[in-house]
Amino acid sequence: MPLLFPYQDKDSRIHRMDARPKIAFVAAIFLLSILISDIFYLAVFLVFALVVVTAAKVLRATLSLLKYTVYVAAFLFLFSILFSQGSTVIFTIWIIQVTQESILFATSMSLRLFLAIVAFSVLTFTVHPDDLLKILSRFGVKSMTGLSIATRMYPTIAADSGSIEDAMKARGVEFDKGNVIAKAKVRAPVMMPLLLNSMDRSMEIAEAMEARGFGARRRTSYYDPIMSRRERAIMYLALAAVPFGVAMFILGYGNANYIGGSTLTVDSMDVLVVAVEVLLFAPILLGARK
Amino acid sequence: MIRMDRFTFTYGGAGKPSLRDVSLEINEGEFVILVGPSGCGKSTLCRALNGLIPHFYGGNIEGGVSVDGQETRHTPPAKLAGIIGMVFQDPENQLVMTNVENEMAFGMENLALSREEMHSRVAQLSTYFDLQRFFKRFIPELSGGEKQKVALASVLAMRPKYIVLDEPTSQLDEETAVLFLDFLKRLNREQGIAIVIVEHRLERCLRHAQRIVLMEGGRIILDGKPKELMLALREKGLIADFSRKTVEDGHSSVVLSARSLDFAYGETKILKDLSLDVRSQEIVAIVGANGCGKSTLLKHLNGLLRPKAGKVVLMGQDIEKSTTASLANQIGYLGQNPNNYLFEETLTKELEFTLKNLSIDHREWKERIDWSLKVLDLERYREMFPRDLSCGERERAALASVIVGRPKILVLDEPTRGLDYGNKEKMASILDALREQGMTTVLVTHDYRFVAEHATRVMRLEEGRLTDVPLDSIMSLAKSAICVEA
Repeated sequence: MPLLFPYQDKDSRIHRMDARPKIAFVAAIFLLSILISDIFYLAVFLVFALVVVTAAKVLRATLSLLKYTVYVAAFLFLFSILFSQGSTVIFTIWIIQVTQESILFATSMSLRLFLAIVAFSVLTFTVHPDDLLKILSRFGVKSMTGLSIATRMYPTIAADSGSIEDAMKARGVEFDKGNVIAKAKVRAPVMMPLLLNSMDRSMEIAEAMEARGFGARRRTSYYDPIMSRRERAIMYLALAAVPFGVAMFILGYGNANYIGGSTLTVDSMDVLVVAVEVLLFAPILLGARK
Repeated sequence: MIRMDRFTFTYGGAGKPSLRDVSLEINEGEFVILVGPSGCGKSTLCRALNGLIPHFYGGNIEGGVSVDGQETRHTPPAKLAGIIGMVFQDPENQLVMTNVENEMAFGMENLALSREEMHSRVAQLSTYFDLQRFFKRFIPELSGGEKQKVALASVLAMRPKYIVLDEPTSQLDEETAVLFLDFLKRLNREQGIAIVIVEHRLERCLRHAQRIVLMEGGRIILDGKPKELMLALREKGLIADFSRKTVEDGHSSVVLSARSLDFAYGETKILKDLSLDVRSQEIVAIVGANGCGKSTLLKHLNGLLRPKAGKVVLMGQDIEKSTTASLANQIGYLGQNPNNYLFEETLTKELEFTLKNLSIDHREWKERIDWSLKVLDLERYREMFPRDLSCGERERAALASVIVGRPKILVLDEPTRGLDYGNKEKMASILDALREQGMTTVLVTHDYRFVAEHATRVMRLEEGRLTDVPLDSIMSLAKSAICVEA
């Protein structure tokens, strides 16, 4: 039975690493991708992030996630071209002028989007939800436990909705007839038993947790929360890339205003800055603990 | 020692008490079986032992319960968790974490044990339970039996002196249930942990018990050694002799047939060149190990699943082009969880939902609803919210929502799962009555006794194919399952 659960249980050096350096890596890449607009920088980061997901053996899963983003990117291009502001016309189709400015702007935006998705797939595909929970639960115990149970119950609820649909079909409900609206409408009754079942379940789970002593006293932790020196280094270097990137951005590296007429230029200083940033992230590829 | 002293409990909003004036002592190292018909207060008693009543369930209490001297009234269940552990009925709803190792750690983390201690206990238990193989496995991927074992191991990791189990085997197949019970006995003998277990299939755990407590209407009516109670248990119908009531007919016409079905989930082949002919008014039982594809086969019969090759012929017509919904008035299907069928405000509305979908003429509604409720002995619950019914009644209510469409053929997936003896008998006599009215039934079950007493034909699904099982051999299997030493 297919399980609708995003975490990919693979044995890779990225998977074996503590969750914290990975979270730091994803956060740093994400922050930089929001800040930086230069296509060259974004492209280099994207290639690097793809190398990381390849090392984590989740490239295929990441690409299938990106598949949906392609539509968004296509829309971005179409939108930028139709409402183009630039004056450097590359070619004209009928009355629509395709300008260099709009193409570059759309490219930059799409790369940013791709980068964010790829970075987040490191988080979703390689950080085990239990580990994520443990880190999050430091900020508040009970509420975060709810989150963990939600991930744990997700496959169960998905299976539940499948068997409810079967039960409905066996009582004469046609699911695949008519247009989209008719199909959506006929699915409404499925929600009711699903909701009721889930409510019953959550009561039972709460009861079981209570019976196992949850919330009686301050908990201890089964796992060794100490990071190795190497993991610590990976985490701090990834975090250091943020202030460095911001400083360079203020100095004008990675900051391109394509609508305002910036062109695609790469000078030696850009190459140097990108190289330093990638080097700060690169240790993640070494992985950690055996 | 757990001591229950003249304990009476009424759930909030309920008219009458679920437990009445119950006094009970459970000593260290005992193995106690708690029996009684559905709704007699067994589950309520279990929850009173570890303080879930009154802390988790609101209600009115009189008398008191103490666990090793601690009054449950003043001690929440979470504080008692280190002394008294609890395993629940549904393995799905008592596991919290996503993998086995973390699950075992969960309770110990709550007890705030040191890391070294937790690791040593996990290592010890996983050897004892033979769990290393799926240490890192994702819990939803485990089978029901494995999950229940993990639930028990996780409770045991907290080293309680008493473990209370509320129908822990009701969701398991016969073989797995027997293994689970043997394991409990071993735990009791080797580690001296007191076991209190609710079990409605008394036959299979009778040989383990030192003591049986029989409940009825919220009271304890008998308490003693198995040998002393044998006669009383027989009288109450809790242990019944085996009797075969159903007779086979001559040869009638084939109403449903499957021809050379092939089916696979991904790479795993489930059905291989499988063929089946079902004749009118038969009760065909399909048995086989967990996960061998019995449910998959049933779903092919009404088009919920479509074969990779082969065809299904219903009343002489290939169903390939028909949707499940369009076949619903010829072939009824009841899946494993009756709750999936129940959501309307009243039972009557629940049946009307089906009639509306099947576009049955309004003038026929009343007659059909009356008939279904009568056959299933649910007439008094017409205006009740069906989900408030007891387990056995919900199973029948779900069946009512199917037969109200008057299908000629019924396909049932484990219709007796989780039912106590009385409810199972009731379900069986309903199927017999429907058969007399012309209904044909195909069902999947793990219950040999039910099969031996009521099926007209038995087939075993193994390695994707069906083979006939002679009724004699099923009967001897059923009898060996009831090995009762008087």
